[in-house]
Amino acid sequence: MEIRFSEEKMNKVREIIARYPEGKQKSALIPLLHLAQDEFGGWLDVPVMDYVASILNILPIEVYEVATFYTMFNTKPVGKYLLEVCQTGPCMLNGSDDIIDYIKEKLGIGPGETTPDGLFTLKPAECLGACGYAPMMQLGKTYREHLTKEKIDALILELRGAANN
Amino acid sequence: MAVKLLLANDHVEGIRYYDTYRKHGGYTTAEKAFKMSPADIVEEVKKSGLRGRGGAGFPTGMKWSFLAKPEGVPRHLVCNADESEPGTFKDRYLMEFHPHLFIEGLLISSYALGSNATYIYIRGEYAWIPDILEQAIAEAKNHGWLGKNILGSGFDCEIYVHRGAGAYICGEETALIESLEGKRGNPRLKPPFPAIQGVWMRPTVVNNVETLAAVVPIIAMGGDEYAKIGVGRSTGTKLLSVCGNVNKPGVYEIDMTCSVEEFIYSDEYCGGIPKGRKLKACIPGGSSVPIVPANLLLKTAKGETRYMNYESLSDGGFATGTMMGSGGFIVLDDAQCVVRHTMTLARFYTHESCGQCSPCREGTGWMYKILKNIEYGKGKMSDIDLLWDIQRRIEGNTICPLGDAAAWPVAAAIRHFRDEFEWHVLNPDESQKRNYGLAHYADPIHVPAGA
Ligand SMILES: Cc1cc2nc3c(=O)[nH]c(=O)nc-3n(C[C@H](O)[C@H](O)[C@H](O)COP(=O)(O)O)c2cc1C
Ligand code: SF4
Ligand code: FES
Repeated sequence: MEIRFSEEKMNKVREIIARYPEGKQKSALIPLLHLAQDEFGGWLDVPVMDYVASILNILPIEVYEVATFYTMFNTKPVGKYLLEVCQTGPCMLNGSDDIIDYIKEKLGIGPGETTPDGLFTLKPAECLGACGYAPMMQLGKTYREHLTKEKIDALILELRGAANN
Repeated sequence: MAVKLLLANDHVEGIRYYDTYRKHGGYTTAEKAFKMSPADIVEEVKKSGLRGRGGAGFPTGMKWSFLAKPEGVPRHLVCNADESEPGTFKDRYLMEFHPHLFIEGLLISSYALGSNATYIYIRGEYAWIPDILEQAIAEAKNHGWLGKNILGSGFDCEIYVHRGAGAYICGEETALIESLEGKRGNPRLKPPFPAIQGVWMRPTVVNNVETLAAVVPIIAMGGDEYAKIGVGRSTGTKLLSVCGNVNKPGVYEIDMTCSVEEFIYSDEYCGGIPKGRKLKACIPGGSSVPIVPANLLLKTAKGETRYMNYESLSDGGFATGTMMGSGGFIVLDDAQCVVRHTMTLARFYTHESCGQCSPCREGTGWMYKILKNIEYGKGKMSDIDLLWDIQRRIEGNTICPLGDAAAWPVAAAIRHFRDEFEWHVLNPDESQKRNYGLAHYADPIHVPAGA
């Protein structure tokens, strides 16, 4: 895969950098890492981070130290669908442990593992700000709330279908 | 009927969009504000008694008046929309459903503080909200509320949305500033305070989403009128996000005069505890504030009714009271295990510690490990005292308040539910099969010596 933003994405990059004062382009780092992760396979490989460093004219190490600090940046490959199920207190009170166990059993994977077909990664997460709608998970840019076993079944069916098309 | 200021238009369909918001009086307060001087706006906010809604409750007007204004140096308003304290999801509600109220509050506050470039730092997981906010910002800009020379005032203002990437610590204001600069979210030593040297070393005010939204009703009605709502130093209205074991979890606006009992049991708010279960305990202000058992939640140690406001919730200090915090109201029924709940919070804090200070970095992990042992029937009696000792050594010995925030839930759980911890240790097998329930109510106000 060639690591290069399309012209359209580069326009977005320039728009983001322009939000910050001149000479403070490093402020665009986290937004650009989001963009890069979305664009280049769902995780941040070293060449991807180096590319972002070159765009912002900062040292690669400045990118690595940020990428490894924030939970949302994956520094290892993940499945096509990252199921991030919240396990913090308020969700636990409403059965998140059962949901996590159910997914483990259904997909045959443990926390942090990916299914052999590369489709699903299970990642127990900490509070995602949906505590009143528990149990819940983050899936890409969306939240799936009020989860039940039936909803998990339907979701996995839906995602398998989407992946096959 | 309780006063509603922020969610007054909650029932209005389409209030998320400019035209509807405008039809319901939106941006008329901004018009009013631009006829006032920035100093007058700060004065009104001071008079309102508004206290920061992010958790610390610091008076907003006073914070604003500390902002340094050196000649020729730009200053910035940064809105804290990192909202990651377990139990808290009220800012999300405001941004998702009332984006224009929020933007109008940001606009008035930016004008009051002289911020030509204002940033909204939003937690990265709220990935669909930036689109909502950016749409609202674009609509506002199209109608002349943002951009250059707003309403002919000569004041320019742009609002930018900046996404974080998953780090509770970035809600701490100096960590947020570091993160906004494109760095790891390591809190800074204070002083210098952000009001003097904040983002890009420029004077900066960091305020919570709800705080800035509240500026709209304050300027609309005047600070004095706003201060008449509520009681004492708890003025105005407060958003509460309710979760855990209640019939109606969700976001509610209260005017800080209702009792805790009414809040939990009335149909207007939480609607009581599901399945006929009993109230066991509550963490009323987000995971960092002390957990209290039902008896101390509904009444103070003096036997007086406890109310949903800053003073009443903290009545009795940490020995018998708790805090309003961020308004993340977590309810536990009698089927829940306090040890397990506390363990998940300890795991949260160890995951979120930035690692700069040893007491926090090491202490949070150690507490989680011990709690895990107790929860899974591998604990020793001495572990309980050890936990107490560790939390005590973290508190007050760290760069930022995350250390305290990690210590307090553990301290309060032991203070009020020590018997439940002991039961786990003494009954390693049974504790894996059932929960302790309400057994501790045999000794209702259970405060061990030295707590
Ligand atoms: C660990 C930690 C996390 C915090 N998280 C948030 C947060 O998510 N949102 C917020 O508004 N304030 C948070 N705060 C409080 C901020 O540091 C700051 O006090 C607040 O944003 C000030 O705004 P306010 O005065 O309007 O409340 C946090 C503080 C700490 C120590
Ligand atoms: S108290 Fe914890 S989170 Fe705060 S600066 Fe120290 S190590 Fe980091
Ligand atoms: S505890 Fe799960 S979303 Fe808050």
